[in-house]
Amino acid sequence: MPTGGSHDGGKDHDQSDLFLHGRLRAGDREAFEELYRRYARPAYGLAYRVTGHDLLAQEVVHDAFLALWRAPEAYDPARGAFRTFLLSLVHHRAVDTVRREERLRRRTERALNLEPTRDEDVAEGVVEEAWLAGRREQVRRAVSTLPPDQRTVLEMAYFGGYTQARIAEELGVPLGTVKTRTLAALRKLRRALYEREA
Amino acid sequence: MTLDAPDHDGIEELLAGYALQALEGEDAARADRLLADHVPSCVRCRETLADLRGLTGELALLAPPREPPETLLAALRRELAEPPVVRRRPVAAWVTAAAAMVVLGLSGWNAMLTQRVTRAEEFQSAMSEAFFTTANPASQTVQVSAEAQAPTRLYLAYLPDGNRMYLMGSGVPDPREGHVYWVWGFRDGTFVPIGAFLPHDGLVVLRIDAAPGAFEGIVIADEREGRIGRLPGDERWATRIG
Repeated sequence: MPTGGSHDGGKDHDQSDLFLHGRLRAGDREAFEELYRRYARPAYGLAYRVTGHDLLAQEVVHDAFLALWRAPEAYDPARGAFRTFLLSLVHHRAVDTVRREERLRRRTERALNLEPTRDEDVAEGVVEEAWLAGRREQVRRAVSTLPPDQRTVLEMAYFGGYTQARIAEELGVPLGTVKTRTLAALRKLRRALYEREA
Repeated sequence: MTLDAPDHDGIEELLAGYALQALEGEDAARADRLLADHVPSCVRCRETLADLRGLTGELALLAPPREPPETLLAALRRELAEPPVVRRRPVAAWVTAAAAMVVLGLSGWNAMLTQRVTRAEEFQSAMSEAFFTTANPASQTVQVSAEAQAPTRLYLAYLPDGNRMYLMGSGVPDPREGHVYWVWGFRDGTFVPIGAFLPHDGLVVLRIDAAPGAFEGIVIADEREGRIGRLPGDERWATRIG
């Protein structure tokens, strides 16, 4: 079962998240605010990266955290880290938003790069907990091992919000090739990030 | 996971695209059918979905973190301070539904539920939520349609201690002209309308904002649009919950 938490301090934080989630289920607002404090920055960073727009990113993060407050039982601890559940929820909502707002297709090309440039790596003044930064580095390393063609389809879908059909069109390859590359990429990431933790 | 289904590699490929929200057209329709028909009852696919969900959460860390404006937390605090929605108390949900019926009267329910007939643009949103619910191993799935009613397949999925249910299915025929399907919850011989829908190319994904513990079961009936009685009309499907 993937925990995403074997890195330094990760397991402790996963356990701490579980404790906070338990309090959240009981309607504890302080627990909600602590979870917000922990994950608002990566959530907002993700939402901004996908939507490319401050106000839309705020809307996405607002809706995701509100959904968490209203239906905390949607997260099941048996299925992995709370962090991945929440950020996956943010991603879903961000892509939904992009699809609604086609005008965002004009956003800058940097939204399509998995590897951020050095100056935007972590915005100045953003305080990030060390264990989360450690996990970020693990994910980066795992992604860096993917063949370029697999990385491309993954980044276009995940951060670009493109459908597989659109990716095939943009790259000039068959749709089946895009599907195959996507699955191969995700399988490799699963092995790299989860199986070594078992 | 077992390898007892020869097409599971193909299903995984489809679910990978679904988890990334990268499907459209026929692929999206196939995924919707899978999520409605196959996934709720397939342990392997539920595990695959959970893993893919985890990976979409991990990839989020590649985006540079950003400091959200302070107004965002302030807005959330205001939302949290509002009267709580019905949650975590199934009996209260039933009482609230019954009370609302009294306050609004049947015409009030009628207007409210007519507005809630599933629209195409809401379909994907409901499917996304149903995705998270069915990927949860604690979720319960009840078959609503009988085997003899194939190719119609309708399932009700929910978390036992949750405050929502999801009605999912495929091969659902359209109701009669000028009619819609209404979902009724029943308990102690009393019926309360809790949702309404029209199939979307035979597919149904309906979020029902009611706790599963609030009802003994549901009945789905073919009803004239814009009208509602005290009891279900032309009953088409029914099941007990739990």
